[in-house]
Amino acid sequence: MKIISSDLLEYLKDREIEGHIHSVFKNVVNIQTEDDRLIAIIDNKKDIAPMSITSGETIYSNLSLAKGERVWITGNQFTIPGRKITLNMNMSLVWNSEPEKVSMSNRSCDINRALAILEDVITTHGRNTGLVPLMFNINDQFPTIRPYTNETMKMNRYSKKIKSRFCQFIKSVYTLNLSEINRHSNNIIGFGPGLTPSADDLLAGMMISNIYMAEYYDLNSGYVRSINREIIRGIKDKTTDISYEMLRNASGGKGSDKVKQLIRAILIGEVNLKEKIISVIDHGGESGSDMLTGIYLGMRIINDEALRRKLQK
Amino acid sequence: MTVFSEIKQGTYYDSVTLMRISQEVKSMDGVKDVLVGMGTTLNKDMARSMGILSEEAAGVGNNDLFIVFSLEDGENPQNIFERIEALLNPEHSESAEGYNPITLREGLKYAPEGNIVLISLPGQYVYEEAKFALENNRHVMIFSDNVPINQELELKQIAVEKGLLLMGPDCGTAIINKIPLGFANIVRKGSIGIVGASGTGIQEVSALIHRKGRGIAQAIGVGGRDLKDEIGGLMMIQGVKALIDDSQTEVIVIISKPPSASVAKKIMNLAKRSQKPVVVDFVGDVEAHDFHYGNSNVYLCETLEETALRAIALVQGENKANSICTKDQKRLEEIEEKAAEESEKYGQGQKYILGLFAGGTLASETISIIEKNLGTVYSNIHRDPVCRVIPDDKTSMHLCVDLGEDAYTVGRPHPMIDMSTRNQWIEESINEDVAVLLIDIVFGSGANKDPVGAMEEALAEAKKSMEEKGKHLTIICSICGTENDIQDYERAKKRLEALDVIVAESNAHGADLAVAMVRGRNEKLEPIRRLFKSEISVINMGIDSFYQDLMQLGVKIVHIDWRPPAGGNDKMLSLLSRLKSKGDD
Repeated sequence: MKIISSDLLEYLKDREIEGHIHSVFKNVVNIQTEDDRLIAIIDNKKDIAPMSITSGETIYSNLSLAKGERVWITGNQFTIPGRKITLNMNMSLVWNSEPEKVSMSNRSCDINRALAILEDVITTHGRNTGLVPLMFNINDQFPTIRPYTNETMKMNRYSKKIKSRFCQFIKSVYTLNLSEINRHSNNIIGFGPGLTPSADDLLAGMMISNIYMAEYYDLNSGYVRSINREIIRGIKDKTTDISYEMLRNASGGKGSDKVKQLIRAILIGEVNLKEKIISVIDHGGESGSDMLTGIYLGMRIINDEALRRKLQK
Repeated sequence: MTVFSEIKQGTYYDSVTLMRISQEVKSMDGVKDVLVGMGTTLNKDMARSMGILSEEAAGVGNNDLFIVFSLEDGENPQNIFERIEALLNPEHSESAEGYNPITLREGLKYAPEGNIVLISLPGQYVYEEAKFALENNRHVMIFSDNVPINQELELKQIAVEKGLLLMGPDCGTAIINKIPLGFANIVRKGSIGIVGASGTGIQEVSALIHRKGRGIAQAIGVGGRDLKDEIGGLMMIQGVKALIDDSQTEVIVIISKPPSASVAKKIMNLAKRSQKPVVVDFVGDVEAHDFHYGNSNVYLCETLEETALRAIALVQGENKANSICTKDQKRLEEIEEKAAEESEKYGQGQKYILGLFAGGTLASETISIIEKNLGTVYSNIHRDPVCRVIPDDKTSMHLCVDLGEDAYTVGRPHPMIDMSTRNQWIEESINEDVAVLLIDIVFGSGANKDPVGAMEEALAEAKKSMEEKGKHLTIICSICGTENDIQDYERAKKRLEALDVIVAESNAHGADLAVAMVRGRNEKLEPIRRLFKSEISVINMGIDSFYQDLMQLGVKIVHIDWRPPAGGNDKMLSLLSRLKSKGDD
């Protein structure tokens, strides 16, 4: 089944684009366009995400596609000249990449309970080789985000190295100082293991949850979006192209389908929350766990009533 | 220390590959430190602060991969570069989810921090691997069975000597530092420590403790043979000592199928010497309850549920004399009420219980409860050889089958994983005299991800089939699990209830319910029960107006135009009576 994300459909509308193959993975081919966007062509084993299409069962690594090969995109057709490879997306389903609007009125249980489950599942199923330990080790500076359980997690070398910078960033979020937010996010972006460095995954998770929480608590979403814009302003030369695209999408509240489903489950109080958490953990090496850490911390921060009062419309 | 680096410019590898390279290079001989990352400024700063940023690596860009490592002086980096190339080779990185060493020796090098070796190999290979692990000071959990008992003894002697845990063989469940091993459930951390020679016994008690809001410090499995004379309870004793020593454990729970008398004595003596309260359940061992422990800190329980509740009560500092809720009046009344409601619906002859279990200890406990109340139960795991039989003709008997026994698992997965054997039993073995089908569902890692889904068709069909025969089948299910398990307790409960299955609070509660339903079934009252369920049809003798009135009400009625014998002549009547009595003689 072919699926195209709604933001990509919008981006391609009435355009002829020339791009090149940016990177080839087992289940994903990334195409970089002239205006520096990355479009992901994903096979059915991977989760649909913003600016992407799922194309069927093709295993891209078997096609021996090479970095730099030209790609033409006309209408909804992707063509790799000389390879006789075309991918027509005209009959595909459209997946809505925009963040879903979930308000408190949809809630069936306490959000804290869902976050406590998330905390618990991360300790038993998560990968803590990235920045997950920060979840359990910054409450000395931010008592309102004390873990729900008595769980502890040993700091690894990445967490130790970034902790003070990260705490400065969190502090700037609590004070809603936009220039400080920008300064401190720029001090952590690009840090950590993985193709999308751990700090980027964490920030992506936070930004996505910011957008959802603004809607959930009916806050000043314009201001919340400006926080996200400050987080990613000026970061292009600080991280990888793939991570930059992820952060750009996340600043608008856009994440993969699994992330969307998880956030919905947290906010609404769905019963199969645990499966959804694990499905996000399973993404990449540390990436899924780091993004969950960001989602968790983002929600804990906006759950703080004092901050919410400042963000009222 | 010498620093080396490998740079891949503008080449991308997925995060799993990068993580794998980092882990493997770190475990290789002579490597002091390693960092694998994309060449962002902050990652290079990190390498610099670790003192391993080479000149070459310092020049990489954001989209370049850099691997930097330092070696002990004199070490040759060649084999490390070769290994990195192999891991970066697309064929390798696509072939596996992660790097898998092929021997335990290599595994211990690869993951030197590994502290528990979990073995589920075929029995004949276990001894060598477990011994190697113990000799390298690792704790061991052996899930496998079919390990010769002399080997088990030797392994346990080594473990005791070294102060290690040797859990098993045939150890299905353990929870160490909250991590569920084998078939364990996900439970919260707490202050109740368990040592058990019974996998599902540990699961049931730990899940109940969790569902009641308390948690588990550690749950140590010791394997089903540990409390036999040949092993002498070596690991049970080791486990209890470890929990006595553990500062997080406030109350100790011991669970086992009936142990040998000499081992039981050793364990009880150790328990009595403990400063901590010890709750003991020798499942199904009625003789154990004849022991008198007076005012000691040892509490003997009859069911796993009672064990869990007793441990909770002790943690909460409640008076030990207090009764606990398995026996409270309210609960008994609820059971009786539910039983009355169900037994009302049974047809003639329905008075037996069929228990089909995945958990061996749960089956044992059920047998014990039914026998105490209703008499003989036939079972493939019965302690008495006379009753240890599954007859071909399964009518007119209470029957409990442990479907996890070897006879039912040859060539197929355990019934906690594969429900097909139980479904087949449900389809083929429910006679018309069965009133209650009693089942368990065991959650946890390793168990079937959707056990309700795998059984719902069979359960619905069983109910329907009995209805078509004018009967009613009560299905009672106990779920051994928690809401944190992937199978999700609350969700499963709702789905079962939607199938008209009664979900018991525990295995013992399920058995109590079944007993009450069948015990309340007074056969002599059957005609009255039938009457109450029928359309009234009256045969009227005597007063004609009764006939007329009932006919007016539309009741089916026949009026007998009765005449006195002998036309009401007393003398003739007396003669006729005498003649009749002679005929009777």
